[in-house]
Amino acid sequence: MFSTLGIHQRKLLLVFGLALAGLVGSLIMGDAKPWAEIDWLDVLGEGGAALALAVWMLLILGSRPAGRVTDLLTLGMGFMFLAMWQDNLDEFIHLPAEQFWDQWLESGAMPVGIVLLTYGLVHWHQEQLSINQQLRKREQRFREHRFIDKLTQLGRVDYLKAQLQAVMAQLPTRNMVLLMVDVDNFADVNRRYGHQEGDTLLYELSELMLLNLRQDDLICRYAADRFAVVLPDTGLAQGRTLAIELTQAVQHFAYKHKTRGDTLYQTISIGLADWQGETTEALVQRANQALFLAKSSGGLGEVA
Amino acid sequence: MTTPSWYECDERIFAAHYQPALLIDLLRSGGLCSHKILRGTGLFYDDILQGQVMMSATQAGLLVSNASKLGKDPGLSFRWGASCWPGHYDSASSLLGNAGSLREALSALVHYRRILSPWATPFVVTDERYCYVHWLTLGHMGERRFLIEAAMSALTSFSRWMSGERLPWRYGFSDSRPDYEEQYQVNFGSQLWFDLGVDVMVIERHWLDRPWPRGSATAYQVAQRQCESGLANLPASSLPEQVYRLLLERVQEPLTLPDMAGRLAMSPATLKRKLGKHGCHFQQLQDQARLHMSLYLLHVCGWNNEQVAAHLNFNDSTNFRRAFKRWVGITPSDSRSRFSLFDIHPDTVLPELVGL
Repeated sequence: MFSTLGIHQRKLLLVFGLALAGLVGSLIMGDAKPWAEIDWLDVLGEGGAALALAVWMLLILGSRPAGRVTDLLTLGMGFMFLAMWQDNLDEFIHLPAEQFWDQWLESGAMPVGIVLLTYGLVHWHQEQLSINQQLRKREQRFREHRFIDKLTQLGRVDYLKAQLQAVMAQLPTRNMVLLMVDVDNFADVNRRYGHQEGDTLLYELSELMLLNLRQDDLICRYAADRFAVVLPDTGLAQGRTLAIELTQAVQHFAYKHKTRGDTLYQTISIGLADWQGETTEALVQRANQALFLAKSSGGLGEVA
Repeated sequence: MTTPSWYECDERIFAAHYQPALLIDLLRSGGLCSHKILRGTGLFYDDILQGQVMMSATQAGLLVSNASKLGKDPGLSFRWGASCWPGHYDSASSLLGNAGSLREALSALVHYRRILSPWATPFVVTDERYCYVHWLTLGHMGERRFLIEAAMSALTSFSRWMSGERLPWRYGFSDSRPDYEEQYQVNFGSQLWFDLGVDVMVIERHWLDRPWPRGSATAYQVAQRQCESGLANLPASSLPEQVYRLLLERVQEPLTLPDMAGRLAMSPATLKRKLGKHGCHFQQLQDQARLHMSLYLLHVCGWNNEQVAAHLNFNDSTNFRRAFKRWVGITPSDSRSRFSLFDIHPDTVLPELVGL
């Protein structure tokens, strides 16, 4: 999880170095308070806040690549942490009144931290908008990391069902078409070339299909080598066109074996069902039946 | 009986570099470390790579339990199963891989089940119209459902590969409909029946003898000879399976625990202890045998409750109905109406049980 912490070494050194300097400085120049004078409620409140800020900072660093937004967020949190930390040290150590640096660190670091964090969040928002654009065909309406398939990075069947429900709830009068896409004889690829090769091929096929979809379409991995494509705002005729385009794209995809270099061609069968106001389960079932038809007759299947 | 015709759960008789290695590879390619996968088994991945390590039934069971917990992927059992056959298990694999028809393949599976299918035992029964492959998991061999999925996926995928077409199997499961039903749909198709009380694959009988293009009669015969000389002396079934088979043979006049112990040349206490080590009770095996026979009589032979009750030596049909409900969760008549597939053959004569 924290494998990305390594690239942020310098920021971490700065924040924790300053915290350590504050501690050493206070110890040299101040005197420890007697136990009776310590307000434990303050210690708990301020210490807890400092600890939480440090944890948040580490979580952000541990989950983000290096970059401007990361720097801003970390420094913002880091300065806020420093302010709380120094505040907390005051509970244990009594500093003479002429030591101004302690006051500055306590009161100055907090506003600086808040400004940096706010500025960072604004940029993070813009960054997120552009990432959403990149992820658009994988996640249309909401994000749920537990529903993501590890191999293809597409949503799994639970995600598909939630998305279908979201589309149905939003505009009940709207046209929608669901495609079930199945790779023909994919089991043979696994048998001939092994699971690893099969997995790579499946991943590349999913990328290829993503490229052939529109901005508002959504593709999910249903199970094994079957994919589901949601085409919102789409009529039957247009759904057919898109399905044929997908079929052709896959047909012309010259996948290269990763070690041997030979080309493996694949074909897909597609079952098509347009939404007629039924439940998610019924729609998925109808699309699966259509796929079964397509498999037995070849090409594109439909169940009215 | 000089040498026992069964094996016990602590005997190291399964090659770790056969099916277990395939499962480990799948998990490793998903990013799991072998140390976690083998936790509790006392085995190390480096040793397995040497190709000499043998596992006991208990160790194999632990591996499967670890896999089903760690994998967090409902497709894992299906993927593992699909990669198992014909496999690379010496003469047993060359026998299976050269089968010229479904009948030959099933015969290889049944005879060399200890090597080809150590986790789930296939029982093959045919009547006039259908062939039934009944999968049985007895004792602690890991997660039951995971193993059934793997075994059925193995036969589905293998028969498709060998025949060059998707065979029209129908599937019955003792478990109820899972949350991840899409895995069943994609791997098995749409002919699925749940809560059946038995795990069974059904196919029309004429598929048994349709020639398989990938088979080779000569190679099959050679492999058969090799198997006979190399493997025939090894016990084919586990102790619980042996007990189950004897119970099934004598289902009309049930054997008691002391009777059974006598037939197996051990004391009742020893039999009980040994079954316990496999994670089984005598009574549970007894129930299974009677349940499977009554399902067969009800659904395949089309008998009514009274006939089945009389055949299985119940006092009356009420007692039978009660027992059946305890075993499956539904009454015999519910079972009959829910699984109309299996009522296609209403025949009051008991068809001959043909073991392959």
